[in-house]
Amino acid sequence: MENHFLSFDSKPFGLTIFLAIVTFQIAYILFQWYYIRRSDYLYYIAYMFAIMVFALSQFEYLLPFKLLSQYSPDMEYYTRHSLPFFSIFLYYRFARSFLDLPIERPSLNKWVIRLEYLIIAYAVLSPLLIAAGIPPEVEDNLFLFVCSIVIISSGVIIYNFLQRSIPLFRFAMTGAVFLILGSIAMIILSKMEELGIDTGVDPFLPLLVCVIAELLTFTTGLSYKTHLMESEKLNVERKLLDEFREKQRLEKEMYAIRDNIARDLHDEIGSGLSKISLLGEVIKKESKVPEPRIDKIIGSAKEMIEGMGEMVWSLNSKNDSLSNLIYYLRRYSMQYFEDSNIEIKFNVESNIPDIPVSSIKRRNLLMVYKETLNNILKHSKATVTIISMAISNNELLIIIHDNGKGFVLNEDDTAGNGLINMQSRMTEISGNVSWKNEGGVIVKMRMPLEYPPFGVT
Amino acid sequence: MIRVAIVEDTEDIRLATAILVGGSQGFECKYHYKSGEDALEKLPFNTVDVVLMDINMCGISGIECIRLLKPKMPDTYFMIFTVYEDEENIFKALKAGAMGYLLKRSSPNQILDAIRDLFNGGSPMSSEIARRVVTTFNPPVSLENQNPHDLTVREREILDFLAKGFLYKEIAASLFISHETVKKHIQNIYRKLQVQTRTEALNKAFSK
Repeated sequence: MENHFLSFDSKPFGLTIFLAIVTFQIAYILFQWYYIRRSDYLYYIAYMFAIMVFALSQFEYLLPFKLLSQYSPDMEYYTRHSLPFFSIFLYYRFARSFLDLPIERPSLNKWVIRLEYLIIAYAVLSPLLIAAGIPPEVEDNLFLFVCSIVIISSGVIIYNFLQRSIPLFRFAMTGAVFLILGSIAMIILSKMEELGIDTGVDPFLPLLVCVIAELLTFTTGLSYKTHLMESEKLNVERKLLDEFREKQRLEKEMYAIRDNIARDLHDEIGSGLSKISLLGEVIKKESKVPEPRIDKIIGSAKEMIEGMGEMVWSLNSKNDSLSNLIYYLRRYSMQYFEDSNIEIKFNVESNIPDIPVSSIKRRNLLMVYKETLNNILKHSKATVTIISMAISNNELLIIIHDNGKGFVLNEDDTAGNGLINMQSRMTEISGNVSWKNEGGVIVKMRMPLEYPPFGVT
Repeated sequence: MIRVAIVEDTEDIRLATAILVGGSQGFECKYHYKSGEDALEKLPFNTVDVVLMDINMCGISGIECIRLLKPKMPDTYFMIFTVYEDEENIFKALKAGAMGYLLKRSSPNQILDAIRDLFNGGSPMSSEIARRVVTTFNPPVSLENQNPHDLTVREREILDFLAKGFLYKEIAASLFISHETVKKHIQNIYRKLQVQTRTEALNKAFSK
């Protein structure tokens, strides 16, 4: 039969365009799938491929070469009904995946699966029946029968969808409607052909036209779904970010409250201790004789205030830079030995990076440092002490070397306990402290530093 | 004779300090006030050389009190009397007109020394306060545009040493000046700080 639409001057004009469109669509979706691994993309490619094979098999006579018929001359005959059904089967698979039907509408999903079984059953059955020698009219009628069932079922399913419409569905519906219209036209035309009416149009033609329309609709639909998934991802990200910020804000508030409580506590206690200290001084002044016990009371009170002053210092976040810490230690050391006859030499490298040091690190390091100086002052009988501070390997390294008599761990464990305490204080801040007897005592303190993530000024 | 007044709301501390200071040679402590309001009312009518002002009082704070009293008593030195070297508050007090600070845990000798130093033109400064002062003043400008209220080179040097944790005697040794001179420089620095604070406040008021 001369096909006027599909050939132009007997050249396969329409078929070429159709094949070109489908090939490009397949390539486009294939590229998309490479980046976005979604199973609905794969089903769609398979569906398009099946359609292409079907079109080729039906209209191969228009082409200048033999494609499929070289494998079997009756290929066209056998696959005449089977191939389109196979592609419809793939289309339904695609639709279910695209619309997330198993999750969104599980009961409807079951019905569509049953329909799919029917479709694939006929797709397999048709060539078998033909091969078995069933007369073509019988097979044709079977084809029309199954077609009607599929069309009616699809109509019911689409109507069911209408009950709860999602925007994504509109794409599905448009495409499906095209297909259904094409199928109906195909059925009508082939029936007419059967009855001998010459329509001048190949029955499969409207199906092909509608397939193209559906392809274009669906590519849009696939992109739309990707867009939806992306914006949902962004929403989730935004929510997480908001939650994180809220958490940070609460943490900050908590720290502020904690610091306020600490400050009030220190103020209260400090005030009381000052009272004790000053009243003690008054008693001393007014008494004509030395009062060693009063001296002890005053001494204890002053020590306590000093200790609390250091705690206040380490809690104060304004003091949290590494350079502040080092300068504080320097001044502390110089003041500590001011009235003694121990000469202090202080070496600090000049470029101290502006890294924050946490409150607990400042506190623990200060305590260990104090204890070390205390040992030197009380027990070492040294005349010179060299204190060096350097930063290397993301660590603060403090080396205190006195030229005293060295230390001996005595029988009563008091010295030992002090050293164990120092070690545990350093371990608590992921650092360590070590002692060596070498021309006096060399104490090495190491404290790891955390560089902020965005670099250091 | 150095005339001292005390503004302190804790009675025992107030009386004890008054006894320790007043009972010492060369010092007199006739006036003590138990609140900032009391001090504001009565202090300007009395001639006093040094005022020891508590920071944390119920009612008006010591800092505010200094700010209000200083213009009325330009020849009097104000000294903050505090438990800890809380540099945030001390700095505010210095900007408001205080010339020094004294820790309540100091021994009587230290208290008397500090008052005497202040009276003789010298002031103390801790390294944390030095850091704050440095950031308050603009960076050094060229010689042509120098403002008399800007810090001199020497003053900047001293601030730098203090910020790095050097003691007065170390600074004195490095700069070949005396201990007292270091403290006099510090007092000048505080004066400039106060001028700058007042100028800023005026600028803010006028720019509205």
